[in-house]
Amino acid sequence: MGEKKRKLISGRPKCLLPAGTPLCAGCQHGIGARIIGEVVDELGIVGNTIGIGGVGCHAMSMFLMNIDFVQALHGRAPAVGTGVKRGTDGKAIVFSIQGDGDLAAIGIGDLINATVRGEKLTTIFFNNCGYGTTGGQMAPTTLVGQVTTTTPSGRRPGAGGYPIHVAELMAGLSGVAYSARCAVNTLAQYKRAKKAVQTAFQKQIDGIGYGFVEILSACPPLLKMRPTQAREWFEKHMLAEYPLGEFKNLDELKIEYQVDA
Amino acid sequence: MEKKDKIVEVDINSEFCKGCSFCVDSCSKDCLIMGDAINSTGYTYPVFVNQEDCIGCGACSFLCPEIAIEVYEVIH
Repeated sequence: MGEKKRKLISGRPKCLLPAGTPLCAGCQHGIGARIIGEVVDELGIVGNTIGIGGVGCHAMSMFLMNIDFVQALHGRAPAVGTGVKRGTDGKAIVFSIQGDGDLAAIGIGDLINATVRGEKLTTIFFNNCGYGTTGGQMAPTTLVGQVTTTTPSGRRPGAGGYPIHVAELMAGLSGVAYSARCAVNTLAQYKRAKKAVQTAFQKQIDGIGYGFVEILSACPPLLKMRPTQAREWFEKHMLAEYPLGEFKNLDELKIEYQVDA
Repeated sequence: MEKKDKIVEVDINSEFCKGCSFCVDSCSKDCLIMGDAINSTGYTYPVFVNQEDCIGCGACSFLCPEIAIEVYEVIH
């Protein structure tokens, strides 16, 4: 009897460092980091990948990854990614990790203009319906009626407006090749999310266009709930507001000349 | 009952665990329960029980936000 052999069914991806996450208990951003790690491992692009971190809890996953990272200003990750992509002559695989306060509030112009310029980047967008890092203020993605520190009686459309659906917005833009919204609350959703992230990276590698994936998750400290309660709240309210699925998946961007040269 | 030919082991890194119990909820065979022990950061962590029932789906590992669970199949 020698030492018994074991085959790994599922474990920590190779490009994630063996360290604990700095995130709160029940925060699903760690699963998002794991998905990115697995996809980068499976595509074999570890040495060729540069990540752009926004500002927020989602960017903490850059401390976990054994991948080169650039920290961007708040919301400017697609602009910094453009510089990295063009500076490396288009050879680097560039992805940005952004949250909803970062991408949907201050950075929506940068994101849209990156697709308008026809950049071939990948953006992973973590949506948790509020600003988690700064203490739970209202974000553009906050649900109508949701209580936050800046909307103590719930978000009212008259004063606070309506939640923004970024994945649908991105699907309507010409430069985007892939846009999807995923969740990571069950194993089936996890596998769909992983496939979506993989496709979004593949669109960039093949040089087709912009890949965008929105990953929904609940923020237990923002909701002032226990992790399992927060996940129930997420399944009841967030999934009702934000439908899951692929909104755009093109193998080729059609180019039609509107004016004959 | 059909013969079970797959032996699965689940390694839980108790120091990374923050006690969210997502793994306990995700297990369809009730192979994980929250224990009473407390790790160095003050959270309770799950323990692996009922090894003979585990089918090795990996749901606990994939859905762990702290990436603290590893699932292995024992090869004879």
